[in-house]
Amino acid sequence: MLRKKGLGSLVIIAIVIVVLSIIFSDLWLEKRLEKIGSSIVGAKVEFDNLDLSLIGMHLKWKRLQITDPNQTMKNMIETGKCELDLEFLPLLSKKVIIENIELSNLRTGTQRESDGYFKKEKLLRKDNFVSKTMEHLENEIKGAPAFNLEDYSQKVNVDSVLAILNLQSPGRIDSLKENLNKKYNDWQTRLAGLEIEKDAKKLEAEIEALDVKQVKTVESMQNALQSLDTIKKSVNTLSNSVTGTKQELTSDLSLMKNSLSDVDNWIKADYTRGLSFAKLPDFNTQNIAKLIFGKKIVNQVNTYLNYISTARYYAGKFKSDEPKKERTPRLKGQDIYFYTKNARPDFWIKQIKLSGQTPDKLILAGDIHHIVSDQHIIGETTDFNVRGSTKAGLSLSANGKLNYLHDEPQEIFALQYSNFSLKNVKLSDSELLPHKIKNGFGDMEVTLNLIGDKIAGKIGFAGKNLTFDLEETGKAKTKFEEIIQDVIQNTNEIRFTAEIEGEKDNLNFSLKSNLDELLVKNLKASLGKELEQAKQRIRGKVDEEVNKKRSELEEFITGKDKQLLAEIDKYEEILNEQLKLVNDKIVEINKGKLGGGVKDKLKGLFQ
Amino acid sequence: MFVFQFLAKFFKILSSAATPGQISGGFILGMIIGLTPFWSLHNLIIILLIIILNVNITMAIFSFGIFSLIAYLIDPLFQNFGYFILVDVKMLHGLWLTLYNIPILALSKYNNTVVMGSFLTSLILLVPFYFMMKKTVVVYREKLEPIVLKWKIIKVIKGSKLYSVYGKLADWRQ
Repeated sequence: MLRKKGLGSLVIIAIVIVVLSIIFSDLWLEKRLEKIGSSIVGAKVEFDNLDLSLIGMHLKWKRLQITDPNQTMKNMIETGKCELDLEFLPLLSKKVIIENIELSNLRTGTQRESDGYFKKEKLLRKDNFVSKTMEHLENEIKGAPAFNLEDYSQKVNVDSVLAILNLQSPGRIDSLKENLNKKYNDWQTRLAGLEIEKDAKKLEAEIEALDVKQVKTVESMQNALQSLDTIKKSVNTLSNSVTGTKQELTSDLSLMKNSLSDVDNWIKADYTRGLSFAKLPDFNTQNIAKLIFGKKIVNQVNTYLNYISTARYYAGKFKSDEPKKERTPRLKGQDIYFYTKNARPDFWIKQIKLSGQTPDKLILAGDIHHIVSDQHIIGETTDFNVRGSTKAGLSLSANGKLNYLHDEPQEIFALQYSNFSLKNVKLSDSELLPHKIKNGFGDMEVTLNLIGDKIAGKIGFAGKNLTFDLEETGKAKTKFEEIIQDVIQNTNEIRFTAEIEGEKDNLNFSLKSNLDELLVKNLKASLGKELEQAKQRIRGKVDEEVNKKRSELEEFITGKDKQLLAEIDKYEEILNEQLKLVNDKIVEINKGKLGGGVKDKLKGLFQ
Repeated sequence: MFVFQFLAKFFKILSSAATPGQISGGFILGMIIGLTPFWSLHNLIIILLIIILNVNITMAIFSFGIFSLIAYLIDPLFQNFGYFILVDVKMLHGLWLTLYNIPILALSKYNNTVVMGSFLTSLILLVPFYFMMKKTVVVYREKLEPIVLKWKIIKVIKGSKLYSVYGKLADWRQ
């Protein structure tokens, strides 16, 4: 049943595996740790000369570099030599427990020899609050009104705008006039169709045909009065019809007159189009602070929020007794974790002691406690604290706490960095402020609190005694550059405050800076007059082309209006005359123009 | 061409000198490695078993290839089955908890849904597939082999250079 050759092969394979693992375990572990670290940070994490001793379970490295994800040619943190001991027995249970790590010679902001860019694989955790907040912040910056430098740097060329500005209003006015003319003609045809004059003449003839002299008997008088009554009714019917038509006409004429307001809107649209062709900016709608500092701040905040998102993801993953089903790549599967109260966590660094210095030689010292896969097991939160100060007034204090012991995750961070050097620092990635600072100092205060789905954060910055390096960017080539240079030359202080606050879908982000006011003021002072002239010229051109047409149309409408109303008034007058004739005739008959015989007969009738 | 070579290889194994038991043994051990994620602790043991036990290694490799492809296709089923066993079956939680805290066993990745799902599936299929394969080999050798050997395509493949090289290699290995 057993293969003898197989046993021999097995021994050889075992020896090969042991030898290979001794030779390559360091390399393998180094690559593995670098990959895990890089995917968490979002930029390259590199160990130099990592060495794992399997006998004493002792790990050491010569240098650790953690790239700054926002500037991949710089390290966020670089450490010197480091040694640590791993507990052996937990390793057999796939648990990494480290009692203490001492990270000495820690430096920040050091230059890298190679680019530390790392293409991070996206984890499937898009729907959480932190990710939504990050998205919201990015949209805030993207949604800021565009600030096209060319709008400011080129001289406004109104002539070329006027040459290509194809005014829409004249054509529209002509078309409107044509439509109105059709409507007026319809009304004219309709009024003519009323044949009031013809009917009036007919009725007049009927009235005149009634000869009062011939009314001598009671019967003839009764007949005459009946005829006049019929005529009166006909006149009234015609009169009512004319009154109704007049009402209809008046309302229609009023509507047609109102189309003049459409014409005004078209003219306005032509003018606005002219302004947009000329790209004449509106200074009031810009939030310059967002445009200048927004991107850099949001990138920085999002980097930290990304770490929080990762921490929350793993905290939730290890905590859950009934983990949600995840969609994983094929053949990868989902790990389910099982814990008892007294078990040890899968990963736990109990303490890291830090010491090092910042680029401006500030000596730092601090510690991190309990980097752990599940805080519930050890009942402790993850805390860090780094601080340092010099006699010259330079000081830094940073501390934070990640608390995943309760149902709602909670993260608190605070940073105070005072009097740090801003030499050779670029405050913005924006083209609006491309200058490096030659000399100056800064104060910075950051607070960020997250509790469940609520966030409150504030970043305050103040640059003091600033002088900018204008030589590097050279002499101003455009008017805008000139204005910027003028602003930064005449101010030695730049301040901004960014605030984010809210919960779930109701987040508010604001960014205010003293540069807002300064730049707008200078831009208005410098370009305002020229812009006003350009606007006037465009307005003049539009008025010149369109106003004549508008006046013609107005005249046309008024003329037709008068003509149609006169027509209908004439009909009314004719009918009124007819009515008067009928009434006169009735009066005449009643006032005794009858013969004496008839009178006597009538008197006799009523005695 | 690949399909024909594949079939030829299969028939070649079936008609080799190995006993039906050796072929079936190789088949089911290869099946376990193929169905479950390769880099798992239990697969190290299965590989050791393949080397030590007198099973047909060629069939084990062949079976590994076939079942790796099947495993890729039905991975979501393994994932669901594993999740059901690890999370939904509450009465087993105590067992998983105990295993989780036993050194070495935690390294077996048993708490991974795909590992658990695929490993249990292969255990369930182990016995029936062993006997099914054994029966197939016997039936093939008795009834089907003379017919298959007359197929033109088998003759073409058997006459090819690649086949002779493969034959020499197989002989040398045994």
